[in-house]
Amino acid sequence: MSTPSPVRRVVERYRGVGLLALALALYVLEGLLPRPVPWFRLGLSNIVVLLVLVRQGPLPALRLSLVRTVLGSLFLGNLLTPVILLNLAGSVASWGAMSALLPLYPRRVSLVGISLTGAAFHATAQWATAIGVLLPGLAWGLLPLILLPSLAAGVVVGLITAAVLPQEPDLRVQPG
Amino acid sequence: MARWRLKALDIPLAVVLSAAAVIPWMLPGEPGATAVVTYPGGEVRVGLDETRTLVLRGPVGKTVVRVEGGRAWVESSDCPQKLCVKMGEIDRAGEAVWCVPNCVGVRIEGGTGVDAVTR
Repeated sequence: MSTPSPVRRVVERYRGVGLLALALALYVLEGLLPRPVPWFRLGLSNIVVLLVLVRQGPLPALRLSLVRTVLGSLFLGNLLTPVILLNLAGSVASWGAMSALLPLYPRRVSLVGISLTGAAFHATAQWATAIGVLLPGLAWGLLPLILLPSLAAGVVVGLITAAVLPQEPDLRVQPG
Repeated sequence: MARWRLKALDIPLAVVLSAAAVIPWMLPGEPGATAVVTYPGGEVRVGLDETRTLVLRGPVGKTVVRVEGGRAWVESSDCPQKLCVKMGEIDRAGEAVWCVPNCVGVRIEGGTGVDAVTR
């Protein structure tokens, strides 16, 4: 492989930041849109997290997810509120579940399978944290109302990720 | 662009998670202690250990609520759809049956009478 052009080298070096910016943009935008249920978001920024997870591995994905959540809450205005604990708990739990499934990808589980599992764990961890930290009286009984749409959102995120995932790495693109 | 293909574990995962998601709805709730019957004239509290029949009048007619054997239900009602009657018996804290047209409702309160206590 010949030496990559200077442009390509710069793009490669800042690829991580570019992905973070994308994830952040999606996260903040979603957070700003009016929603029928204030708590519920599609989780589009997880497309990027999932992408990084399958292409670079669990640690880069965790880094991305955490930075995205913290910076995102800075922009959305809940950085110093208890709410951020819910989002962090959800992000970590969903990352953990998705990483655990990663060895099974791509043979036994698809991106949609990983994504919907991540969505389920995210919602559940958020709820558990909300009960534990914020509202001790909150009923578990309402969780299914959140979980089932979360699973649907997870499927959507997985499908979009599959659609944008670049072709498998064994195709080498000649730098030009 | 890559295409998505279903893999072996996808459906089992979806099924298991969906089933797990529904679990909170299947847990038995706290046993009730009091049936609180609401009607246009106010409220009547009936202990679930009592046996009573209440005839309540509302905008569309008569609604009969019965409490017996630790359960409460709407025996009959003059409303057109009689959804309240079809709802059946309730006995757990937090459950409720309402006759919306006739403005009559029965809800079950638990032992302490409150849903949650903040610390």
